[in-house]
Amino acid sequence: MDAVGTGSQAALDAELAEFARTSDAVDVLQHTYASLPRQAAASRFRTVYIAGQIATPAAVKFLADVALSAPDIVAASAGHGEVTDQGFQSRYTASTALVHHYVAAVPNAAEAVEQLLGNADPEIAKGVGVELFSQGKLSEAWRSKLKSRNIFADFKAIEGAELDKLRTLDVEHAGHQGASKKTRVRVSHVAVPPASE
Amino acid sequence: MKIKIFAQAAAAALVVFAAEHSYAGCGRVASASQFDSFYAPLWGCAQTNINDMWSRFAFDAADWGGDMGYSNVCDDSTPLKRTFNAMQLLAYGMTNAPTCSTSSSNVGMWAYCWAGDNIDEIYPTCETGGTRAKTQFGTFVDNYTKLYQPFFYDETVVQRAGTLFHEARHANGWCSHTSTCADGGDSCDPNFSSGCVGTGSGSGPGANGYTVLYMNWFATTARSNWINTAIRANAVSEGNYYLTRRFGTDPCFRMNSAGYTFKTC
Repeated sequence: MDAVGTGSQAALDAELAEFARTSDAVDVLQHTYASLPRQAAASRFRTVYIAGQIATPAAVKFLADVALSAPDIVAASAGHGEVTDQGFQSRYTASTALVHHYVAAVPNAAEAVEQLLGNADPEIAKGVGVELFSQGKLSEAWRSKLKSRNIFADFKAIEGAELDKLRTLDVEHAGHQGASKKTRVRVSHVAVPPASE
Repeated sequence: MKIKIFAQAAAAALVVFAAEHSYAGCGRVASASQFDSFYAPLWGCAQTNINDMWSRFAFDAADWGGDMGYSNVCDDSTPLKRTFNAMQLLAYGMTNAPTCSTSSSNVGMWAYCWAGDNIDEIYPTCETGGTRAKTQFGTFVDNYTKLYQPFFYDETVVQRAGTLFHEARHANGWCSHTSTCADGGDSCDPNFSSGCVGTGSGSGPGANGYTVLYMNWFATTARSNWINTAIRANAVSEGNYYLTRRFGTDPCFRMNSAGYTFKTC
């Protein structure tokens, strides 16, 4: 069973709900997370994502532990395209889940969010600020907490023409190549074995 | 006691993937946590789709033999099928009618055709190479895109799709990287809006910017049956990773968990 893979959103929600009802769900997730090597970033991400769907104080504690962990930097010998902060996705996903738990008034989530704003690595704290702001939940006290760490906190949604400018690529005038430049001969049909699944 | 054991087993099945793993290429075990099983049924390993990818990206059977998957093309554990799944997401993740016209601002409308046009040929290697993929480009050199072991087995499908779009930008714009950003190691663009550097390079965002934009458009406009909340979270965290660690100058925006953008400096 690929909990966050197979099927529709409804199937995913059903699987997660069933799993969350098991009494030791968070224990299992914690154990799994601890047993995964740092290179298994996708599995660690998935484990944290699932924990983020469980609205209990135990899940909040696990998520806070992950989100507050230090950046997991691999030596800078990493080359083009290599991920050097192996734990970023897990920390980020845990932190946004905590914000969602806070908004849903899950016990202990408010304290955990406050802790993140004050102590998480600055990029995670900034992400928490963005998430709170986008949900209309960034209080002045919490904004000040970010600012006291020299973390920008005057967030603003990027919308309209500004968003269009940010997201529009002028690819016709930004490069060199195109279909006509392809050097390897294309083939129109390939004798690949037909679908067998 | 039996109930407890059952619950533990069910829970373990949810988060541990051993039972779903099968031996795959490069001596790696294919993880089921990378969403291949979500996307595979959506395109059904259809022969017409395979033919289109094969032609568009100039695959060569000789490159993809053995463990790479040519003789077992519908097996999600092989490098070839995992590449196909990513290409299908690139094609159909945001539209059921991908086009070659780049007139739409939404890259998801044309990313697949454009990547196929610009990547000269694509081939796999079991080397780790300290990278996911590399593209060689230039006037008097053999142009190609080489996919490394981590591309197949450490990236989720949406990350792989982003990597293909990223590499296509290298091929298209001759955009090189610098080493001045948090990740260093020849993985950086100087800034978001003008990140394409190197001799003869194009203009505008570089390959990292293209990755960010792909994740942003995907997170906010993906077709409902081609995304779920976990995959959106994965795409957003990938985009924010790039925004955080892959630019010499902070782009001054980040995405929230829904994929919407906010000024952050």
